[in-house]
Order: sequence, then structure tokens, then C-alpha cells
Amino acid sequence: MSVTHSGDCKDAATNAVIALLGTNARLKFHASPSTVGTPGATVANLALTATANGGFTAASGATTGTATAGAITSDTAAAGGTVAFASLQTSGGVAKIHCAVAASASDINMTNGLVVAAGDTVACTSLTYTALPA
Amino acid sequence: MTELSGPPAELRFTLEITRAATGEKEIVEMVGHVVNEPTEPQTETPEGE
Repeated sequence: MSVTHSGDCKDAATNAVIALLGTNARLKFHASPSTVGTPGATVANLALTATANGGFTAASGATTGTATAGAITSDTAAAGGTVAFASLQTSGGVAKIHCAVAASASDINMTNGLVVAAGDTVACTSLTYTALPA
Repeated sequence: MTELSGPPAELRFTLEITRAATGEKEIVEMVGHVVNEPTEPQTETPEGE
């Protein structure tokens, strides 16, 4: 049985989760295997805006429940590896959001996954989180 | 028991990767869905052990 939430419920859920990120949160990309409790080897490690809520602007407006991240600092010397998972972590390195990732639209060949070489610069130019998409 | 469920939480982001070897920039839009992770299979221990 599927569920649909009202807009204010969507906002509340998203905002409750991003609040757990606190200040100085990180966006990390991981190789496989990886779990929320034990994230895999870090491929790239980016700093979110150092403010509360992991630097996200809280979801509001009671519509989509989507929070948008502020400016994200690039990793200018990535460790490298194949990106299979992403996590949003607290400043203490505790993963609060963890997911397998895939290309949704791309101008590069993703057949064998997104491979980052050691020393590459990884920038994240947009990042949104939605706890309850419906 | 009635089970209610909705679509999984979603993370969307755009990455720009600048290759150290060539200086070329690659842009990729990615999406992740937050789903339950498989739990370890339970092993039953026979009584008396």
C-alpha cells in the first residue's frame, strides 16, 4: 500500500534528517562494498558549508520537501576509486545518509561506473536531499 | 498487518571531475536512493548447543 505525504510532512522529515548532520558535515563518495554503519573506502571527500543542517537550506513551502546544499568545497586531490555509494556524514565521521548512486544523466561513459583517478579534482556543483519524495 | 510504504529518500547531485592527467573536465548528474540494507542472514542454533 503506497503512501503520500502532505507538503508539510515532507518538509518536516527532510529537515529532521539534515539537522542530524550538524555543522562541518562532509559529502563522501565510496567504493563498494559500503554500508551506513561501515562506509566503504573513500574515493573523494568534500566539505559541505560549515553551518548547521550540514549546510543545507531547510526544506520549506510545504511542497516537495527538498533541501538544497550550500556551497561545497571540492576535493582537489581525490583518493580515487570507483564511485558506487555516497554518504553525508557528521563532522565526526558518522554517516547519516547513505545510498548507492548511479548516473541519472551523463556526458561520459558510465558503463563501468564513475572512476575517479587518484589526484583528480572532484567538485559537487549541486546537491539536494528529499526524505519523502511522495 | 497492513504495511504502509512510500518511495525511498533521494539524493541528487552533479559532479564535476577534473582529470589530473589531462586537465579535462567531466560532468555527471547522479542520483541515489536511500533504501534498507540487506541484513545478515540469521543462523539458527539448534537447542542444546
